[in-house]
Amino acid sequence: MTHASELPVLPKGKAADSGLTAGIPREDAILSAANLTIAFAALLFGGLAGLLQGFVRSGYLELPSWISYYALLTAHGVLLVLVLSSFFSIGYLYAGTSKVLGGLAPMTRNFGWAGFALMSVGTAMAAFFILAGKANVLYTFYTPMQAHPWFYIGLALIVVGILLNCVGMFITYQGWRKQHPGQLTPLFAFFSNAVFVLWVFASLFIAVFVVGLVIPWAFGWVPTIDPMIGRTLFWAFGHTLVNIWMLTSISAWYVSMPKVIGGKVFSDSLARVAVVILVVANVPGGFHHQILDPGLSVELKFLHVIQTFMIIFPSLMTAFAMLATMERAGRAKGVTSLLGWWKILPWSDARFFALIVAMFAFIPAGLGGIINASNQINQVVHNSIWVTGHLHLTVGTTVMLTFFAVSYWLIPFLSGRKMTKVLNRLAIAQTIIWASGMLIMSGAMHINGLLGSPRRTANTTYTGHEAAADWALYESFMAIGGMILFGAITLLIYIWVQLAFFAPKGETEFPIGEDDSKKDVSPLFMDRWAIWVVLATLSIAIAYVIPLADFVSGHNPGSPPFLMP
Amino acid sequence: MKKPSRQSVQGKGHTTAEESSLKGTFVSVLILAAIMVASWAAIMLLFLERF
Amino acid sequence: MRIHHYEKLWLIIGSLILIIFLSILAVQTFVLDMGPPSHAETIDPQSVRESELFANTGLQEVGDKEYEIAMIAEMFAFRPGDLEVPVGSTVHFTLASPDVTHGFKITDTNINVMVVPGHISKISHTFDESGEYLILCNEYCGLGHEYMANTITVK
Ligand code: HEM
Ligand SMILES: [Cu+2]
Ligand SMILES: [Cu+2]
Repeated sequence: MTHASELPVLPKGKAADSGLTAGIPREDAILSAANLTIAFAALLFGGLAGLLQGFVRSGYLELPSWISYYALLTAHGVLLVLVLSSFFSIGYLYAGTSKVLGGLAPMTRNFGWAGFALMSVGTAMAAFFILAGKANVLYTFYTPMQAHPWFYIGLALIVVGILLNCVGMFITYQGWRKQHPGQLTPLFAFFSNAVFVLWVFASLFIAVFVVGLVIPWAFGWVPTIDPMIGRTLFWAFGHTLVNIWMLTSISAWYVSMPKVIGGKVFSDSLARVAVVILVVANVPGGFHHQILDPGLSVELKFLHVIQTFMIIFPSLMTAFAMLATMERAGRAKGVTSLLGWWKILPWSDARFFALIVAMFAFIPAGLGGIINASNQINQVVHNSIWVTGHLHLTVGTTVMLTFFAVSYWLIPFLSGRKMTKVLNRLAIAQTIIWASGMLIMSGAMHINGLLGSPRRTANTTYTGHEAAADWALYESFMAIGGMILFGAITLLIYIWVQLAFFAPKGETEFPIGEDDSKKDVSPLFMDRWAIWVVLATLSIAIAYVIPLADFVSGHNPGSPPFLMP
Repeated sequence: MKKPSRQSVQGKGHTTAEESSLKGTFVSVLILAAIMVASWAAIMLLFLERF
Repeated sequence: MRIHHYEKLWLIIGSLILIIFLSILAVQTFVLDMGPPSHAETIDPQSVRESELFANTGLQEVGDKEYEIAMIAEMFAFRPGDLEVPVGSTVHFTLASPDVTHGFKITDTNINVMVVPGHISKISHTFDESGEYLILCNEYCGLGHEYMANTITVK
């Protein structure tokens, strides 16, 4: 593989020529832009569903008979959780990797386009059956609820498409390593590879579930299915997906934020350690979604609680690293007071502002996660709308605002344009509106959850029960928050369209921070992913061998299907 | 023997200079820890109250 | 790899907090028996409605202010219907589903357990305060999910 040497030498920091867009090959830019476009469409339609859900739950709106609340909720979950996050992470990481490794390998582009095609077809199929009312199973599609078999085929296509993208990324990453023996891969590429390694783990679990178990059962070739195996495999996937978003997001925090604030990466080597811990310890976390399930022993559940707590550790490292990056940047500019460096951060730069608000949102989001995972305390919050509030803080705020921040440099970087002052100001306003909408909505959800209101439930007063009467007030706040959020989405789409097609031509940089302590480099074995994959497999084995062997040994009676028309 | 210079990354003198400059970070994470304990304890109390 | 002194200190403090959390949880779970509901017993979902265990559905007094009840969680109701017990009663719930997965939640209590077809779930609670508690299904179970609710009155 000699792709990098085939590429023209990139004119460093100079305007794009015909074959290049803003410093990456045009082919790579187009592939990235295609992925981003689908991600943005998913946000628009998913957000629209969310808006309607908020109105239905609070009783302000009655849906026409051809669509149910649960069809909307299925669309919301599938579009935002599966479609948006996968297309965005691919579009962003492919572009960034192309930038730091000097272009993607030609084979990578082929895999990227094939994956893109499969994922798009899969998304269209899944969306069709959801809107046709043939897949009211929510994005978790817990068996033995059953959707139309072709809905599952759509999901399977998305997964296979993601796997092709993984192969694509590995080709470029390993190709670069072969051509640069003795050299450490750039930090951004390291993050990117880690995300795709996690995608492989996640996809394998969901592929076994969907292709191996659900599809044969949905077509009626197999009469029954074990719901516990399904829950376990789904959450092995689902929880890994969470860390895929987080890793994708913190790649921008670790690599780009320092450059945006005019500082340096606090510690390249510790960043890599945090990434590796996340990859190795991540998958077993999935079991914290099953703390209240029958058929799993208390001891096994506690083992998983401990494994979940292990992935809090890299977040502790991240918190320190982010603050230290900002403090150092301030000190370098001569600030001497204890906390004075907070003040001179570039608050009026939308790229930074969206990132820092995302980081702040991660405080309540992460703390909520610790509470959810705390074994018996899970009984207070499990399946209440508190959890939905938590989701909107984690993926809805922390991850989304990070993605928005990224888009403020990624889109003009790809389109060869520049952010204007006005757009920058609009982007700051967008961040504030989004964060306040989420604060109102998810705050109300957290409170209602503690008051007992269940998640995933259409409007109901429970025949006028007084417990449910207490929820009404906060349900109004949910609807108001939803309205504010939808306003923020329209503003965002305006900014995106401007950045893509109308902003003045110019060159936008893809901010890549430099390491602060060049002499404190990571040992080369950090790049040997075989080690981390083996360790991750081991940690998965510790977590899953006992319960899955138990389920597969066959003493669980199977369930026939229940169609959810 | 060379004197440990300020520029040397492993140098002792350098480390203390760096440490003094990360006090704000340390204070900030301690505040974070306090919020963490408080929120966890609050829900734990709710759990016990409902037990 | 060099770790800054303050970062070491922070990671130690942070880890200690997490270990304290885990220890409290472990003591509650393994010493005080306050762990999450984790009953392990299987039942063929297609035979739940005919099974002996769920045939005699009603509150059974098994001791002084102590009751047992076997409940079927099905689309879209808990059977039998509304319940009534004296203040201070301990109720042991046994649940199973003949169809899809349901959730069993009683507001203002810690009662919260999944009812997965193929498995029997058990959970207990002592009702020390009078009132009408709402029992609801908190796992999406189909297009009538929001109607799946009952009450338990404590007098
Ligand atoms: C206009 C903005 C949004 C509004 C108004 C909104 C509103 C809602 C509402 C009302 C629910 C359903 C509550 C329930 O019945 O359980 C929900 C669920 C959810 N939302 Fe959003 N949301 C928005 C944006 C987002 C975004 C951007 C994400 C993530 C990228 C997201 C992720 C989720 C998830 C994961 C669920 C849970 C789905 C499930 O339980 O199946 N939401 N949202
Ligand atoms: Cu139910
Ligand atoms: Cu239900």
